[in-house]
Amino acid sequence: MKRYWKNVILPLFIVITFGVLYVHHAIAKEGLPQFELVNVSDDEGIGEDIIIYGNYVADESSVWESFRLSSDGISYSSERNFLEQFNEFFESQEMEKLREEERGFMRGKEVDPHLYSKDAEQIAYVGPSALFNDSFEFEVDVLDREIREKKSFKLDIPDSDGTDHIYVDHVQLLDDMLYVTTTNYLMEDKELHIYQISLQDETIEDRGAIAGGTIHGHFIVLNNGMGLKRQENIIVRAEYIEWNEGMHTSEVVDEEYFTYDLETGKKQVFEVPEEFAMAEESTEQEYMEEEQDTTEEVIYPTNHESVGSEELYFITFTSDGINYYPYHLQENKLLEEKEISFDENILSGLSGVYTKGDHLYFYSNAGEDGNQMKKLFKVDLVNGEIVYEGEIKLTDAPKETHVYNVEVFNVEEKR
Amino acid sequence: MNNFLKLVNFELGRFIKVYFILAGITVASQLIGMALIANDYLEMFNEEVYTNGTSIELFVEYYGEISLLNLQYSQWFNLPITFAVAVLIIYSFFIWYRDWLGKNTFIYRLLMLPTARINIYLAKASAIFLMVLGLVALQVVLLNVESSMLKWMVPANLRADLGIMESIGGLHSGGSMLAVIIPTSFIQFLIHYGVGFMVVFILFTAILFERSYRFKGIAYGVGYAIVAFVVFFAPFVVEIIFGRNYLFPTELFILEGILWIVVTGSSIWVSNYLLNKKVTV
Repeated sequence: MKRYWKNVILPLFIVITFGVLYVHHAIAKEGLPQFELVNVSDDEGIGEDIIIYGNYVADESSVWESFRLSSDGISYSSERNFLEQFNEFFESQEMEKLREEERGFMRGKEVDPHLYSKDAEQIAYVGPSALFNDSFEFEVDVLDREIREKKSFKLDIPDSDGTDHIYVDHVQLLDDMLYVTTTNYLMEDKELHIYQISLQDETIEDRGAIAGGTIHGHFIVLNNGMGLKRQENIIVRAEYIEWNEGMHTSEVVDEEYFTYDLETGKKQVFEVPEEFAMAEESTEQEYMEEEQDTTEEVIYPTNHESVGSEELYFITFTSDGINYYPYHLQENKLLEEKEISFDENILSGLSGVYTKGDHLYFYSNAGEDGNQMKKLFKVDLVNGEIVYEGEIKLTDAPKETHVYNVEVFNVEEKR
Repeated sequence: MNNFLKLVNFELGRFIKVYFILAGITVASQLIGMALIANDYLEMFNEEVYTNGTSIELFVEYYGEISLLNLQYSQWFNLPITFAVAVLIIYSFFIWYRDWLGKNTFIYRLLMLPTARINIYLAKASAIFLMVLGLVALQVVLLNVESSMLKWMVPANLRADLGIMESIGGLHSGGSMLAVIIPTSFIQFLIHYGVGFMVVFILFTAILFERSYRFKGIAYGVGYAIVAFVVFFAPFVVEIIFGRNYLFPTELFILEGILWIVVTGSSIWVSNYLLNKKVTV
């Protein structure tokens, strides 16, 4: 037996070392701090419905782990069972549910929610998300969830001569029509197109460019954050940018907001509140002027938009709080400005703003030593009031010497 | 079984001196590296704080706390691992070819042993696995030792005490090989080493093709390896060609598990055939 020591010692050493390593890791959840979402002010039980997607970071961001935090507790990405770990951790609940309920339909499709639309009976998909000039062809799949009938067909994209590539921005199902919003890249220009697809006739029609500019501009479909539900209009922010070849700089020369009625094809340009338009310009100027000669923390205004059920909100975070301007989409008029004030401490720690229709969430990471206070607020934009204040509290810090910070990527409401 | 264990012991014994040297280099390099890195950090601290009058808080803010990551990003840590990996890869070939070297070829005696010939193949493979896992286990122990060293050398307010998994997890974005050799979950461990050992079985089968058919055998061996890899990675290849993921991730994992069994089983079966019917001395 003595002759076979290598056969005994080496496997024993391996089994004991890895056994201790992984068992200890599993039991102790080594290194994973425990956070809780504590309600500070929550009259309506809103905290029960909030899910925060984020990372904890430590040791100057070199150590991190993704988590989902709700009133039920925290769950880390690495704590999921093995098969669950193959799924996208930050996937929206809506897409996760769709994947679980309609596996056959979802098979082989991209998971980008912008490519899907659904109503009470049907789910529609138009892909791929990026098309290149070797094949300008939409793949259309529609599933009637009641009679379990699936319709699949391909359509050549009309009038695509001179187009280099196309990105699908938004898909909308309205009765038996599909409306596909795309950004088409031409040689020097970029255009926003709407394609109308008849599910009955399996035909496609190009509504033409509803906006156009140079290749450096941007078209942002603001409805994309609203999920798969029915939306009769798309709301677009168009940034027209000029590129200075000599200086290698770009400049926003114009910006417009418009709504486009998918069924009637009517485009309506909005009046942008002056204060909102000015806020971003002043941010750049103030930053350039003040940055060099001050060491004090300066709160610069930041702009956000949110598409609500009836209104589009132009939101600016200022050094006093939130100023926002609701724009009534049906009546096509700018409503009265609303203001909500916040403590300067909260605003100086502002590190994430998440617009969800008529609600706005924001996360502030500030406090005495920059890491003590991690607060989440929910604002009801219709009534102009804060309806929830919660704090992310560190309840168990495995390493006393660590500073544990929290980065928030998204906030969702439980469905 | 007894013969198999004797053969494993024999194969380990043939490499054990080199193996201990590899382990010694790894231990020495990493411990010296840890000491030097901690020392450099403390020297920098003394220079900044005691000579230049920088406050401790400002020093920590500017230079950061020292942790195991400082060592893991250094060549003191990575070079011995690279060297050990390279030696073990070379030895995966040499473990076969050494038996054919010399005037009195040793393979002749091995093949004449009163035991199933596949035991020779399995024993060589097991020896490689044990040596690889042994070095990785040594690395796990070393990380604990290095963590303790850091605690002895550097005061608590200047260091970040990372757990082993924490420091490995923190390396994902840094692209360190440590995250590959010590996966942060046991299942990932099984996947990494399952694929690694399948590659060893494929390599051994290719070597046996070469030993059986000589020049023609090189083509057979390379062909076998290509076919084996294509079969194992077929689901990924199909997805790349058609540009879409037909399988959900869990289905893909189960299919890969089945293909692993097919490829590994085929390699052992083909090797058994070659050892019994075709191999020449």
